[in-house]
Amino acid sequence: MVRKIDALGEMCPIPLIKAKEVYAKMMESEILIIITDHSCVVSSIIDYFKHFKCEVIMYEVINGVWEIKIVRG
Amino acid sequence: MFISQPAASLQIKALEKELKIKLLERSNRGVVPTEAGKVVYKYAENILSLCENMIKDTRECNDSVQKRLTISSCATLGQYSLPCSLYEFSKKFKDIEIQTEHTFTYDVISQVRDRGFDIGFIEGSYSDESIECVFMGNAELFFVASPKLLDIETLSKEQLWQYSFFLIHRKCSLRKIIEENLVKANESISHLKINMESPSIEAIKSFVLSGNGVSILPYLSIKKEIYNKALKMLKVDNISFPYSFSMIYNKKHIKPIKYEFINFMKNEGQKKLC
Repeated sequence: MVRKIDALGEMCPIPLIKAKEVYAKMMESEILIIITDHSCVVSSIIDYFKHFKCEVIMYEVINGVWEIKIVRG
Repeated sequence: MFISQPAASLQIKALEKELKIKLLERSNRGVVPTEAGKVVYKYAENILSLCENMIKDTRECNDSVQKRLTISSCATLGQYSLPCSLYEFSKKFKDIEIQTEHTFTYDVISQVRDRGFDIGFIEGSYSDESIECVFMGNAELFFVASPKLLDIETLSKEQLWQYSFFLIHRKCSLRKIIEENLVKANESISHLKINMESPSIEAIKSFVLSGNGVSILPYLSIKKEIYNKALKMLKVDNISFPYSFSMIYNKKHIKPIKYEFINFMKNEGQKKLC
């Protein structure tokens, strides 16, 4: 299952708070995609989820907009 | 104002006597400031703002825990880019109270130079004997339209000039950037059918999103709409609108927390400006 969080226009720490809530409900190998236009959101999400058993891939879709894909391990 | 009108009149007359100049034209129809009166009014605004900031800043000397930073910013940076940097800064310096205001660039400069604001963020650059300027980054404005209005992305200026433009207000420095870049491209703003102007980027965006016309907007403010394809950026005859933005501060006012912030922005903050 793929869950999406559209965090465009949202500033830190709102997207990270939302991501934590959704991740907590996810099962193994489920996917979460967060879309953000703030670089601080990208770094805070990567920093947070590196402690978890999951795969985090970040992709700059257009200049200044990132999709962060988290696959729960 | 907690003062009676006769008392206020007496104060003003005393000031006129001291300055040896008329500040108000008094007639049957009321009072109107003279040219000198307008000058005094402007200084009075600065003096009152400086006084307020002086009181707040001196309180901080006693209170080592509470520290305050006043930041004035042009609207685009303040709304779309700055909050991330401020959030990162406040994570590092937890006891700092940050107060921000958004206004036009020329007013940001006044606030930093004359009214005791610690930091300013402006489009372009500015420095003088009081103001130090630090380059923060480059940005760009683009012609934008809704797909409801235009289904092509490349067009000639003659094609684009047919449409109604809703532009940033002439008081914004972004407007000056638009005009200068049009001149560089051997064009003139007078060729545009400007039906409306507004200092609010969100208002302009709503207009363009509904397909009622076109505009020239900073990329920083339209990322979401470009990603969602609600708006498209147009390529028009090699016309482009690049600009830079800067951080300014008054080098004559020394305040430790201000220099912490300046160093933070120089070292890390630039990357955090979205």
